[in-house]
Order: sequence, then C-alpha cells, then structure tokens
Amino acid sequence: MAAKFEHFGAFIKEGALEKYEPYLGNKHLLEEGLPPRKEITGHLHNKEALKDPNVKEYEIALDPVYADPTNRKMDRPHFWPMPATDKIATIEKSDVKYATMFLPKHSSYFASYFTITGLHGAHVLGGVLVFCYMMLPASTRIYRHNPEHLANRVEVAGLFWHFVDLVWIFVFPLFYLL
Amino acid sequence: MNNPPDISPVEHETEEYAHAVHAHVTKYLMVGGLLLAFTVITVALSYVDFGMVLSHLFHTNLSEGQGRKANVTVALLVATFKAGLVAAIFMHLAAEKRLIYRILIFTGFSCSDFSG
Repeated sequence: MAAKFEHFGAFIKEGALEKYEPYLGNKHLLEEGLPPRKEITGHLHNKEALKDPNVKEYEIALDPVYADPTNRKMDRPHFWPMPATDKIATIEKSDVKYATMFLPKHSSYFASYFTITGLHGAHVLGGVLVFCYMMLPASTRIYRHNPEHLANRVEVAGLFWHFVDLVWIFVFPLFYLL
Repeated sequence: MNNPPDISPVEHETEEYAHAVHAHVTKYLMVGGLLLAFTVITVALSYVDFGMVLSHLFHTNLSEGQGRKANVTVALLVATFKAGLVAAIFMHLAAEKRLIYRILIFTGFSCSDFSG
C-alpha cells in the first residue's frame, strides 16, 4: 500500500525530451513505430521538492520501463504492476512541464466521499429513469401485447435497483456513521 | 393437432395466483420493515463505543484505533446481514436454482481477483 502513494510522474517539456533520452528510449520507440514517451514515473525520494522552490530537481527511483527503456519487453504496458527499481534519476524541475503524485489534491476523505456518493447517485438516477420508462404508454402496450415480456423487464429493473440498494447498505454506515 | 394451447384465463387459477401475489407483497413489506428497523439499529450502534464495551468485558485496555476497528466491524456485520436479506429475498436468491449459484460464485471469484 505505502509504495503506491510514493508514486510520482513528471511530464517532460518538449524541448528537454532529448536530454532524458536515456530514460525515455524514444529513438527505440520510433524504430518500433510506437508513440514517444513524454512522462517519467517512479518513486519520489526527495518529497520536499514538491513544495520547496529552493530544491531544483526531483530524485526518483525509476519504474522498470524507464530503467531499461530500449528493452522490447517494456514497449507495452504490463498487466501486473511492477515495483520501482534501484536506479535513481535526477530530473531538473525546469525541464518538467507538469508533475503529479497521483493523489487527491486536497483531502482523501472528501475525494472518496464525493466519488462514491456521486457514482451511487448516478446509479439511482439511472434506476429511476428505467422505472419511469415502465410507466410510459410504450410499456403499457408491451403489457397488453405480451405481459411476460414486461414482467421480465420489471424483474431485471428490480434486480438492478436492489443491487444499488445493496451498495447503499454498506456506504451509509461507513461514510455517514463512522 | 397443431392448434395453439388454450391459455384463456381459468377463474380459480387466477384467484390462486392473486392470492400468491398477495402473500409475496406481505413478505416484501415485512422484509422492508425489517431492513428499516436494522437501519435504526445501525444508527443506534454507531453511538456505542465498542472499544469501551470490549475493554470492560475482557478487562483489557483497547486503544482508540482498536475501538474504532471494533465499531467498523459491528457496522459491517449488521450491513452484511441486511445485504444478505436483500440478496436472498428481494433479489430472489433464496429461490434460485443451482446454475445461478455457480454463475454467482464464478463472478465472486473474478471480482476478488481484480480487487486483490
């Protein structure tokens, strides 16, 4: 877990890409006919670099791709996450267009709270739309024509609704009571 | 010989069916009431400090973090019971055949793979 939150990525400015070629391996990618890499990722060692303007460079333990960029095995993303290597790279801040720790910027609690409740709200709205459809004349027509057909739709809509309910049963105590 | 089967409604069958529907609705309303009651219980239990309760019961001293864990565990146990009710009765799992369970187990394994 902890390692995940040291993960750091820096997008390199167009003009400086050449300078970091040993990490990016873009000549190799060009030969392979693949798009160039513009970001270097790994574990950030000097975290103070994020805030202190006097620190002029990021020190990162490179992810395997950037430690061995011309290896054909690194050409495409791996399915399983791979740990960072021991190889340390220094990247000058002035060469970085944009850097990120892949963290919610202000508060992890509010980030997860609004993601979970927002996503849940979207599911509830979707369910309400489906139930509204059940009350339209189109559904009445289906009912007259073939009641089993509409019964099946109601059954499936009910299953979806209770699945959303199931999620709320866990979300409510965890986010609102504890 | 190839005449379609006679599906015109039979009086007493329709009555039986209507009776069964009525029994179902009563069951769903009762389960719904039970779920509401357990929601109230969950809220009430969230005011209880289970760290203190356990400390008293077992004559130990639980830290604040351990007490919090105890409260989360209790809330999750109640929630799991409620989820079981919803799945078994509202989602008709209690009345499902074996095939559905096989598919459900398969889905469960797949999900645990991704979250692991």
